[in-house]
Amino acid sequence: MPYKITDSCLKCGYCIERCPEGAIIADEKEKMDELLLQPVHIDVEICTDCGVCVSEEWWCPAQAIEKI
Amino acid sequence: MGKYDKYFVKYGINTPKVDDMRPIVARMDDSVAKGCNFYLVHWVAPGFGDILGDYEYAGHPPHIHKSAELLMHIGGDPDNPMDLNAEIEMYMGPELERHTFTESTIIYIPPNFIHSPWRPLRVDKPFLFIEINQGPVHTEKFFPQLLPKEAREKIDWSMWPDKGF
Repeated sequence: MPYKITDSCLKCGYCIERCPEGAIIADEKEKMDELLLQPVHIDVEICTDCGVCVSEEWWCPAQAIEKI
Repeated sequence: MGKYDKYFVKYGINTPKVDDMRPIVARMDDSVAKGCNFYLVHWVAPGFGDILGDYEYAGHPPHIHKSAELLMHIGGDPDNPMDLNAEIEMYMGPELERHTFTESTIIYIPPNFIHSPWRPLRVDKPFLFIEINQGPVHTEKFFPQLLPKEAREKIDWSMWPDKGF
């Protein structure tokens, strides 16, 4: 089974370009006061379960990716 | 002129100075010596914390680097080398867990680990701050969304641009 983005996500968008399969997809940006944040989701049809996104303790700076 | 003069690096004498308010004594990276990782050494003198502000979460805002980092705080008294003669505040992780310390201390920052704000709460005697970044260039990505709005509004964000992300 692939992975999912949890509620811990800080919406920094750093993961989008780092996923080797391009399975982390940018959603519509969200405003938080003066900040513009970048929510994401994992496309389970594209995710190959390679596990790169959880291969290092802080691959995601918020540790917001987990296995479904 | 010797063949190996280039290996004796003197900050601001035979390498360019960078735009930085800190009293830097050494700075190295790939642009100074091909293949060299990023190193920065500066003094922290009494009053240093004042320029960073005096409010909750003042100081270098929360950020990550692509490479691991070592932040060495080295006390300046050789008779008591473990006494920093200063008190440092450092926040760690996405939870902004608050830490303070008064001893000579190395903080290890894994790649992509959120850290800071960092600031001296007091400095009684000058100490050396040595930043070792285990990558050839200095990268930095900020996480302003972790700070409360009141703290974000007090920070001059033009001082803290993302670099290399």
